[in-house]
Amino acid sequence: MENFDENIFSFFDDDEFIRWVSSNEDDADAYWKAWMQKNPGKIKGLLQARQVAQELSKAQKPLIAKKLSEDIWEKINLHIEKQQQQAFISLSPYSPHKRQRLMIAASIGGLLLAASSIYYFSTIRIDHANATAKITTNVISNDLNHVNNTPESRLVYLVDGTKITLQPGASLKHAVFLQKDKREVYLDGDAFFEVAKDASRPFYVYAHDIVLRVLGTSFNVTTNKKNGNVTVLVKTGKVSVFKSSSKNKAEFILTPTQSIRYTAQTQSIVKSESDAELEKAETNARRAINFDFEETPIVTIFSALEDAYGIKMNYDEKVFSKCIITAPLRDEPFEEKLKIICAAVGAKYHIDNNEVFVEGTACK
Amino acid sequence: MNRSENLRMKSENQIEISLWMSFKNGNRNAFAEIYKTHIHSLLGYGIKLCSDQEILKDNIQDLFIELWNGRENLANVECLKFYLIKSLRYKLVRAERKRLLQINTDPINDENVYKRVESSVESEMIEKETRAAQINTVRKAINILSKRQQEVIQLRFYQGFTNEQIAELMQMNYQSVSNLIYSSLCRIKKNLSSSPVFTTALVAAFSFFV
Repeated sequence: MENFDENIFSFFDDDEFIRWVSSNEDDADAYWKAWMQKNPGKIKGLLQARQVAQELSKAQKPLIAKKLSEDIWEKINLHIEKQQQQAFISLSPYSPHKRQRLMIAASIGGLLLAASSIYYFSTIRIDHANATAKITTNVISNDLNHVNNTPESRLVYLVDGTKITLQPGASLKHAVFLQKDKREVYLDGDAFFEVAKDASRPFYVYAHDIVLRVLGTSFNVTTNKKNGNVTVLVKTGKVSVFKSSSKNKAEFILTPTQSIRYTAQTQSIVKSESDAELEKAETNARRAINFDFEETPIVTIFSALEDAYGIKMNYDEKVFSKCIITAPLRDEPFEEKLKIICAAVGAKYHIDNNEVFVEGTACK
Repeated sequence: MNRSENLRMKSENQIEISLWMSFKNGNRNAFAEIYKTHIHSLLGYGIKLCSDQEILKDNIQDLFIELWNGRENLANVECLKFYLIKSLRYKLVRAERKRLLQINTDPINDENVYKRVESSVESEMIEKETRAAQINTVRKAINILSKRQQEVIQLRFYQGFTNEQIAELMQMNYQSVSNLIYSSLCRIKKNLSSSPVFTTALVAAFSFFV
């Protein structure tokens, strides 16, 4: 018996290799990119192994007509429908005629019941996004402007997963879906930033005369409207700070516990290792919005997203009124949340003119 | 793994969890999504194990109907595809055993079930394809393997399961799975080199490495 190449087989024996090949992507993912950097001499073998594995996979693609899967589904559906009807019939002692009328009555009754239970859910259930007062979010051309007119700090969510705690009176402006190659926000007032990591898109905060540039970190910024002074305190990660008028885009680089104070009058930036006063004035406890939805009407979830992100959700309420789903969401980016929610009911979304449009079929 | 990959995998996982939970709570749309997502895997696997298309259809149908009926009592599965494939396998082996019992009185164990399946749904399709002059040499080379070898190659390279999962499915130990894959690949190589048509990169790759 001819031997199979041991080199290629050692890849085939590796679950990580198989996972990569099964994912059907043309590019190497981060794990294998790193592996290739460490083993440049073995790259050829790796790629050949991949080709062989893909050929093996392709050769086993089922030779079946699409119709087959549709036929099976139809039978499954029919069976379930019949079962539900039979269950009803076995409960009722009525004759066939009366059964029919009863079934129609029951389905209307079912609708009413469903409608009332939705009402029940949305009022009794712990309100996910409704605090007593909300941030006002206005859409001005392509931008969102969030203003915290409440007496407490409030969270604003950006589509990339960044969370910003706006202190009372603070306001934040940004392009609704941010930009393709960078993420820019304009801040007035005080805020605490938890910037989501995105190496392809640096995050810029414009606070009066000061500009901050980060990749993914958390830090606090205070801006004084009256005198134009700005302070920055870094909690995690690295932040570079420079004057907007400055040519050198990395005038100061701050690491955790470091801070700067900018005085508008003298246009001077002073950096310090740790600033007790700033540290004290840092993050107040923020009431985070809970995105972990269990058995929640999808309409409620759409509202919660609208409140948190300030992005309008367009959908047909009649279509989605009966859809109740479980979606254990956390701090993933906005569009990931949309994907998960839509997948639960087989719906699709698209983004147009900075608004979200969701289309789907009614839930039974 | 970088964040966006982690997120993608996490969100695929989350989609699966979300679908599973919604389905368990009686959401028909989520149930339909689960079917759509996995039916091709199941069909691809089933046609190798089964000798009759009708039996395959019936068993897949039963699988999903039972899933729906028992949904409230289902545990949360870690890998849905694996769970479905395992359940289907159990049904198909049982169905095959029953069918053989009806035509044969010899005592039957798993191995025999395999050996006696003379033609699978797929081998018939290959016959048809061959006659239509659309030959995929690799597919043919795989199809000549024993049923057990075919199954392990399908599970590893088409379904993408880990060796541990395959060991559980086929009730073997881990090392045996690895050995079986190796011997199957040797066999495929042998089949390819005796085939008159050398067309694919695979064939070239196989013959390039000794």
